[in-house]
Order: sequence, then structure tokens, then C-alpha cells
Amino acid sequence: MQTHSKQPIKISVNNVTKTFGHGTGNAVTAIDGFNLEIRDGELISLLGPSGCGKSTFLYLIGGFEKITEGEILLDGVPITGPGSNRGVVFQEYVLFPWQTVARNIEYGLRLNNTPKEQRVARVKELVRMIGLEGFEDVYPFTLSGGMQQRVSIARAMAYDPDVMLMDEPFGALDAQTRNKMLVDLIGIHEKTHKTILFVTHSVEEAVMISDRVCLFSSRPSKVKEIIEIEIEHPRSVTDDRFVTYQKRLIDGLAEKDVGGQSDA
Amino acid sequence: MADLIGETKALQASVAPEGAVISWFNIKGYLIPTLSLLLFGIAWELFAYLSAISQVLLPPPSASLVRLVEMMGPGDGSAPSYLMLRHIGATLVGLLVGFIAAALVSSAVGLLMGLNKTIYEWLNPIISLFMVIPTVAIVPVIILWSGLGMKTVIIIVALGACFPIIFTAAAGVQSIPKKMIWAAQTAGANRQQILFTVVIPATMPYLITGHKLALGRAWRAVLAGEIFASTAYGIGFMIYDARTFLDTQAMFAGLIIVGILGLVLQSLFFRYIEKSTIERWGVVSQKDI
Repeated sequence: MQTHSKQPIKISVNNVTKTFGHGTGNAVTAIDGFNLEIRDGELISLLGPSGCGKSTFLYLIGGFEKITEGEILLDGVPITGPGSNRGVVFQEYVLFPWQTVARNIEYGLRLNNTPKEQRVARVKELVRMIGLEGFEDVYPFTLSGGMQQRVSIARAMAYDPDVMLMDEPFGALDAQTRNKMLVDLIGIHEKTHKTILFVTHSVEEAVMISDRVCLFSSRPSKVKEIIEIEIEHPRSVTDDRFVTYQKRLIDGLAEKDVGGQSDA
Repeated sequence: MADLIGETKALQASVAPEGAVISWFNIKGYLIPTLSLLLFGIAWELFAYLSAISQVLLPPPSASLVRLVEMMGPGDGSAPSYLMLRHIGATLVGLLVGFIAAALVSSAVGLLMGLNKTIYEWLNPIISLFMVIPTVAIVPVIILWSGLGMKTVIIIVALGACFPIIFTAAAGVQSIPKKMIWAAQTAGANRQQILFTVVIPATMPYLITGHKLALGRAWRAVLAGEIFASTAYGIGFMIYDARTFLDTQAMFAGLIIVGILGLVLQSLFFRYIEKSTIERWGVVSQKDI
């Protein structure tokens, strides 16, 4: 947790602006003059109201969308497109339905021609990590949403990216499955020390898993506040400190945006 | 609890030889179509005998079937041996060569249109225009350009088959969720790898539908093509040629073959492909991503 403050900067977001339809009459600015520093190995939640641009921000780091102004540095190198130093998990899983669980997981390893023995070993390790032993040879459509999302996480981790980008990954799951997935994600984070960016609109999710929570203002997005969650794991929703953080974040979300840009 | 187990067992016993139940349903599945066709045949037979229409114009199906069997065999020397098989062979060659040629070219064109917005915008109007012109209407022009014979039939079939494939392939590519492409890019896939590991497999359900539609059109096109452009063999040619001799039995024998082959092509040809791809992947029933 707090130890991350001593870690080097992994991602540095400098004055980033993203405008859709730039140069046209109906241009929409999703993100405006955004600054953020993310440390190596931290789990940071990007929390904000729906449509505030937090997913767009994640896609900029993914390299899926082009930055209009400013720059994002990953290990000091500007991001210009997608790359295998980042892994991505979407709310919709988007697994490849024509491939089995094992083949989905080893997708990235096949792309970079990893030898078969290594692939098999890695798949085995990941399948154990996500608790899906015995499901290696089934097709994704036979799995429940939670299981599919586990496969999606394993697929993104298979080629060992430094950074995991998670776009409301548990948003489509039922409450029970979601809680289990959150606990598992914390476990994975503690084991792998990956830098994880976790987009969510759930205050509870954010407090449950995060080292830090970055509060987004509504569109156009700016960083409203960054809150460090100083509770040791495992965290309990009934813990007084948990409740206090939750209240603070809810208040933060409700607060009028600074700079009078709240018309969106 | 014990009651429940007992009840379940009794229930299982009552449905018992499970195979028997299933095969009975299978029989039922074939029973009605068979009976229905049989009744239709009998009605036609009776009508042919009892109505005022000359049997020269409306031969009873029994006579046409006998004629069909004769034509399938070595014959009596008055016509080439195994005549019907030669006609069937010519039709299938024309159909398959034209269809496969169309499938290869059109899939590529359709994928390109799906991948590139500019290509799509410029080609779409032209293809939409050609799509609404029935293939038969273009046949005279093709005959003028390439004469009579198998080559012309193949061109006609290919023309008839290509447009549904192009359209569905383009639509298939456009329907791929962009996040699926993103996931592949993040895993390190380059453009070529994305094409082969994501775009083509993700387009498969659409491609299969397009090829099914195309085969239906190709089947119509091959018969139309043969009627106008064949000089020796082909079922379409045979039916048309028999007309000149008022050989209605042969004409109906040809139509029976057309019906049977059409059904076989329609129902059997794609079953295997569908079973080994989209059904296995659960894409058919899967909710949209």
C-alpha cells in the first residue's frame, strides 16, 4: 500500500487532452488538461460518474485512442499505440469464441512464438491462478460470466505485461461473483505486483481493492482528488475506516466540480 | 428425500429405453415429410390419369420416374449411355467451379470492404446496383461476350453467387467488436495476425450465411445458364432440349433431379461446416457482445 509511494513512476500523464471529432463543428472534449502519476506496482482505481471519460482515459493509456494534446509516458517512453507491455480486460470479456479456454489464454504467447512447453506451463499456472482447472478445453460460451472474465484476465496476464488496464471488469457480474473476483484480484496483485488501473463507478469496489483512488470530475475529465486508502488487506466493508473512506469518496463525487465545468 | 429419489427413478423407468424414445421422434421427423410427398405424388398420378389434360403434356410421375431410371442407366444405344449422369455431372461441375471461383474472390473483396471504409463507400453503391439485377437478365450479354458452352455457364454461376458473399463478409467484419481487436493488439498482434487470428474467424458465421445464400443463387443461375448457353450437357439444357421433342417425361425427370439435388445442396452441404465451427463455438445462440 503506502510503500508504493517510494516506488518509481510507472506511468506519467502530462497535460493530456482528448477531443473527439477534433476540428469539426461538434467536437466533444472528454478529457481536459489531465495530469496523473502512477507508481510502479500500485493498484489505482479510476472512479467517476458514468460518461465522465474514465474509460476514454484508460483507452488512451492502452493506445487504442489517440491523444489530442499532451503526452503519456510509460517507463519514460511516450505511448503511441497498443503494445504487449499492457494487458487489457473489458467489462464485456471479448474472449475469442472460436478458441478454447486454453487457446484464449495462450493467444499472446502464440503471437510471440513462445515454445510449446513454456506455453503449456504458463497456461497451467494461469488456469490454476484463476481457479478453472478442468475447463481448459471448453469453449467460452459454456462458461458463466464470472468464469469468462477470469479467462479474460488470464489472457491479459499470459504474456506478463507490466501494466493491467481493467475497464469496469466486474460491472456485468452479480454481487456475489463480483466480491469473489475482487478478493481474487487483490490476491493476484499481491502475488504479481503488477501496476493495475481499475476503472469503476462503484465506490465500494474502489475502497475494497485500491492503494489509491483517483476521483474524476464529470466531462471534460480532470483529476478531482486522489485519495490513498490506508487500510490493510483483507478489508471489510463493516470496518469503520472503510465506511469513512466510502463516505469521503461519495462526498467527493457529489461535490461541485472545481472550475465550473460541471455543465456536462 | 427417499421419496423424491424413488419418484425420479420411476419417472426414468417410464421413459426408459431412452434410445427408443429418441428414435421414435426421429421416425416421426421423417414420417410426415415422406407421407406428404407420397400423397402429393399419388394425387398427381391420379390427376394425370383422370383429368382431361393429355398425358403428353402432363405425364404421370410414375412414367417420369421410369424414364429417369432409364436415363440414369447405360441406355439402348439411341442416345449417349448414362445420359442423365452426364447431365448431372455437367451441372455440378458448372455449379461448383463457378461457386468456388466466386467464393474465393468475393470473400476477399468482402473482407477488404469490411476492413476499409473508403473501399466500402465506393464499392457499395455499385454492388447494390448489380445485386438487384437478376442474373438471368445478364445472361444474354454474357453469351454475346463469351459464346455458348460451359465457360459461359461458369461465368453466369459466379456472377449469381458473388454478391451475397461480398455483402455478408463486409457486414461480418464491420460487426466485430472493436474491443476484440484491441485485446488482440494489446497481446502484440500485428495487422496480418489480426486478420488471420481475429477478423477471419470472427467473420465466419457471416461468411457461412453468405455462402449458403450464394449457393442457392448459384443453383438457380446454373440452370438458367444451361438453358440459354449449354450446347450438349447439363440438366437445364436437357430440360430445355427435351421441350423441342415434346419429351415431357424427360422434362419432368429433369425437374425431379433438380428438386432432389437442390434439397441436398441446401440442407446437407453446410451442415458439417456449421457443426464444426459456429455451433461448436456457441456463436449462433450467443448474445451480442
